[in-house]
Amino acid sequence: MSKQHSEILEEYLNILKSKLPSWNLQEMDKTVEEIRTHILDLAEDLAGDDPVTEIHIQAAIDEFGSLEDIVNDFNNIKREKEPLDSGDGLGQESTFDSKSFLTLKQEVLQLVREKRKKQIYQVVEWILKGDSKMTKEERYSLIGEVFMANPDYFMDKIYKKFQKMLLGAYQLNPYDLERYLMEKFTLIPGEVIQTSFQGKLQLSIHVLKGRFYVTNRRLIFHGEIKESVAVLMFTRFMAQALEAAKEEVQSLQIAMGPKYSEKPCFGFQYSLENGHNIRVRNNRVTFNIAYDFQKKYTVKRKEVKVKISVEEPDLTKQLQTIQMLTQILQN
Amino acid sequence: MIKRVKNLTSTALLSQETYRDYIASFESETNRGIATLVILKIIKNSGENGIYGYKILQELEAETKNMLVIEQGRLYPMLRKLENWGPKGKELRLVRSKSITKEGSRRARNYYSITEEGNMIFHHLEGVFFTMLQSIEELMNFKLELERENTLFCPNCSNLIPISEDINYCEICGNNIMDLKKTVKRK
Repeated sequence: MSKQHSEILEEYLNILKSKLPSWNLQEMDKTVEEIRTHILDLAEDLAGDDPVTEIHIQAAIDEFGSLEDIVNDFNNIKREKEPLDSGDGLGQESTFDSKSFLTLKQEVLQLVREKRKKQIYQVVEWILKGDSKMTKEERYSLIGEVFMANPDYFMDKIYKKFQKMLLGAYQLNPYDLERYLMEKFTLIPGEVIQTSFQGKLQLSIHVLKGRFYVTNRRLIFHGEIKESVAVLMFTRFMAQALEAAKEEVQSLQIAMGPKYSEKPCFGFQYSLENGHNIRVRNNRVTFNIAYDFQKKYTVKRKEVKVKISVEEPDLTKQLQTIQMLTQILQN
Repeated sequence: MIKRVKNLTSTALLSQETYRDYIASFESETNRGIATLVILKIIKNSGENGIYGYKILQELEAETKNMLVIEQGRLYPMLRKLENWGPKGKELRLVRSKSITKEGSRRARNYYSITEEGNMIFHHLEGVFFTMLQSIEELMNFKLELERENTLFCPNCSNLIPISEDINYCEICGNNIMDLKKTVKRK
């Protein structure tokens, strides 16, 4: 299949994936893969003995049916699976009509554009409360809109407060929302989160505390990174060290068209491809990464020692994560 | 749900959007159940090896002589529902799926096969459907002829039961069918 055909299909599947209800990720991937195979089978049948062209792919997509109807059917299943629930309002049938939802969304986005932090807090507080009568999906989707409207502002000024709200006032797991945002907005096609864990990232003398997501393509670190030497070094190091392994991600970006380039990254993506000198001790994995450092007219190669500590209360999970990380590095 | 019933010829009324929408909505309502039943039947017919989505639709077209055509994309929500219906802890699994890459095929496909539970439920649904059609025979002025020997419908829940010496109770509702078996045999 040529790049152009792949683009059409991937774009369609990507839209589908973004609209599917956020259920079990494995189930979502299975469905998307199944639909991909179906469309390709159909395109081949339409092409007959001729090679499949983008016209056949487009015709197969058209024949496959209205995206809206398919998504509606999936949403109906989700509703049947998550009947009325009392308490925190999660999994509730929405009593919030779509018009009110859109109005609220517009208002929230306006607040983000105007960077009115206090008002945003107030609205989000109301969104998170059970009496807002929204489903979990609607609440998260609205917060997702805030994130997408201005990711930097969201991460710098709003997100930390959200986490506190979720944990404190509503006793909800803040990582649930984080994972939702990751899966919905930042993963590339075919990318699946394999595990996530709490830990520390140490780059030479700088220590950053946060949450790691190990996907089948990269390691995403999400933590509080203040504008300091550590950040500059970290980000520069990232940009340099990532170069080699970036190709794969870039080719996917090209396949997905300009939409992906505009897609913000939730945390920092980090390739482990050129890691070497791997050592494991207790809950820590230490390794070295070489990167090219631009200095005026010359490029110097530098080595940085990276230390990842897994800080999970569950020791079995801690051990499994360490094993997984080591395996990724060794491969 | 079912995209077109080919023998419907287009009339002047059908050319009007409102009427078309009304028909589409009627079809959607009446065909939702039928679609589930026929898909389950095709999966059941495929046996233990199972069958994948695209093939199910091809079989459906062939078996119904192109009369019933399901909108392709809407097959997958239906399959997902058959695979796992109901809220957590109370799930019903009528079919199971397995990803297999067959020899000579370039792609892995999900093959669906019916579960034991699905088989039982299918007989019940089949019975309910036939009984329902039978019940409107006179009113709608049509005659339904079932090519089924050695089976009977449970008078209590309409389950389709094979007539066998070992089966004396309906496995769905537990109704005693011993007397009914004798009547059917006498006929």
